[in-house]
Amino acid sequence: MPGPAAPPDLRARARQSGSTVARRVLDQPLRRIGIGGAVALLAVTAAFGGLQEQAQDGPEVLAVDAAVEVAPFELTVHRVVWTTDLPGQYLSEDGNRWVGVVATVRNTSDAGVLGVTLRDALTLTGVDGLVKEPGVLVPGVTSTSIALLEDGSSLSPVQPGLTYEAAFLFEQDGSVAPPTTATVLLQQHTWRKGSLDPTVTWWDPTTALRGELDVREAVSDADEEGDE
Amino acid sequence: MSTPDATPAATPDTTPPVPVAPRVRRPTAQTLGAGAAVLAALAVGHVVVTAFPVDERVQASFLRPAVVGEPVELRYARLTAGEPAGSTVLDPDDGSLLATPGVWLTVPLTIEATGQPRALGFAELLGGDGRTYVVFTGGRSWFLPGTAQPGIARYATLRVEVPPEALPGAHLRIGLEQKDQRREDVADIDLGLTQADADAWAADDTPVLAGPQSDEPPEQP
Repeated sequence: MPGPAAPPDLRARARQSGSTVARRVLDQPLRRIGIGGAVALLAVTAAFGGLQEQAQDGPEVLAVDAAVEVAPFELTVHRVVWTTDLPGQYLSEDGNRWVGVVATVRNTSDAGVLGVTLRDALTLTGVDGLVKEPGVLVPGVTSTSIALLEDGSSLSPVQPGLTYEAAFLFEQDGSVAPPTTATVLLQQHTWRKGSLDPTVTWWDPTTALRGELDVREAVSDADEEGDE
Repeated sequence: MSTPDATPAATPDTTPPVPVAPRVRRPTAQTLGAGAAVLAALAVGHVVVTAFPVDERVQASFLRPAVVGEPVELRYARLTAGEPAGSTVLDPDDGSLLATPGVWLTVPLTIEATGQPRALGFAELLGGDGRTYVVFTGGRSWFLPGTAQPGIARYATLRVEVPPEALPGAHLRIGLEQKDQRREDVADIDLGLTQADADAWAADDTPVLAGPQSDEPPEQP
């Protein structure tokens, strides 16, 4: 059996202190201390729900045109397109382009939610040259703006009981080729108090669905009419 | 002659020093009792707070009821709501028009600050359908009256988009701080809206105007 993990001088000081607990702990071999520490850590995490059964193993596959619940929203992703010209929206540099995820948005809670929560609910990854950097608290890159298709205004607040058609807009560097595919991530939130702030609100965006979708160039209404 | 105060010559002590173990202070029964008393007090406090949820009542806002056209006296201002209007299209008076999948509701408000300059920042609509509709200082559903100076009435129009079913029985709440209304006066205004108002506005696409905030009274149509 291996000897004690603690150095001799430390064990001698523990003996001199007269503390039975300190002496016994320092006389233990490293393996036993490691096992004890792991058990203690497990017990602490269990006290905060660490041993609760996982609701799901990982994100589900996102399908186009299928409504999904990601609290506090119901989102239906219709398509991903790119364009260089969008009335009412301004690129940070000429030559850049917009990558837009067109979706139907419903707030399924019983209170209005600000747009910042909606912004975290749908993010993008797998696209080179996005101007915005990936966030720290949210997986993927959040949109630059969320514009209503009807009038181009920014969608905030998102009121309950209303169905909005909107485009989540991501600015891409124009020197990079337009994407042909993009991975869309949908995050669900949890309604709880903050750790420091007692205000109850939507926290902890967690990816619930993930889908690699085709990206095509946007076609304007005039072009569509010309094709007919 | 001997010297009585003389001391004999010191002899070297060759005995090794005996190590003296430091005295370990053991917790006394009194210390343990005090610790147990503190834990017991904390436990009793937790039980009392849990069994009698007084926090919400202590921190609740002081709701000041009012109706349209009737001034309501708040700690920080005198507030009067004008006649509400509605449509499916909003004219924010900035050259654009805003559509909505529901109904735009506008409420003109007159703010008379009390004592010192006040910038009211909280508003929400409690719908007749039981849901709460956020009104923020930016965005589509909007209320930002600016600072009202004492003695000078401030005029602003609140706008909020709601589904038509939220309008009958809706109450508008206006307060001072946008993030915190605890232990503070909040106006609770019954807008007096009916199902007939909701039906009429849901079928109307004539833009309803939400003009800018001002110290000048808005022009009457």
